[in-house]
Amino acid sequence: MIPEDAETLLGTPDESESAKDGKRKVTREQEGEEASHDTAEFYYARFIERMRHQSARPLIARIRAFLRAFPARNTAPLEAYKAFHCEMVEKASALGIFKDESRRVISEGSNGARS
Amino acid sequence: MERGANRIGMEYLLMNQLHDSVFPTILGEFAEQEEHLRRKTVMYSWVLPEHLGYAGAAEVDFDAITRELSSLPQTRTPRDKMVVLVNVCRIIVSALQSDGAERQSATADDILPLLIAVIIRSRPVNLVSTVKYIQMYREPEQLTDSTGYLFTHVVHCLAAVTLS
Repeated sequence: MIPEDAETLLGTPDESESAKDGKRKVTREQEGEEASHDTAEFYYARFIERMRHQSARPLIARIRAFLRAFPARNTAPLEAYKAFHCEMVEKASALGIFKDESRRVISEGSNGARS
Repeated sequence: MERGANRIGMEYLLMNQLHDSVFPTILGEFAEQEEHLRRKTVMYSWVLPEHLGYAGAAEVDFDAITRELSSLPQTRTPRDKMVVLVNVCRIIVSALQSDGAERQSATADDILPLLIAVIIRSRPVNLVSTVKYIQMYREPEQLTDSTGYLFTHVVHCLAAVTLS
């Protein structure tokens, strides 16, 4: 079961941004876009999947707290975002829950496969 | 690579949520430049690619470009906004590659006149703020690959129109 906080932040699986991305991708492919963006969408879809993992709950809580505080940060929002983004990337990497998937991305990407 | 995937995913996740806080601020900050661009596009509405030194026969699909640009206000993340702008460039590149001329690939000299004409003709909504938003909040390394190269064309064309 997806924690309520995570569901609000990430969307339900059927309505998540990755699902919307999948719909947009058809348009992009029709426009002849190269696979690089599809690869990015693959990253994102898998990233969201992993963020639903139980061990990512502290990250979700931290992100929600940041988002709640953000409107008050009317000075230097860019700096606040960049610092927080870096911190979250570090923490997500330290969790290790994305590791195997990213390896798969490399091998699938090299064969030109798409999500 | 793991970290790269996390950077992309985290940017997408955060900016999807922060768009409504951040983008209106940028719109306000660059309102004057948006109005300046609007005035320039009206002033130069007679300009065609041949006036800008383009001598080829590429037929740009303006309907496809209009459709692509119309999706811009619905996008939220820097990445998705950049994809829309880069897709516009790709439509132009595609037109250049099928214009019958014998060339290995489309160069900046071919792309820029057509892209300037496209910006003048299509008058994209909030283009200045969109470009600033991407430059500020997109992962820097995502601005330096082949997609970033096409995005740079948009930046140059925007400057060409507004500074002319």
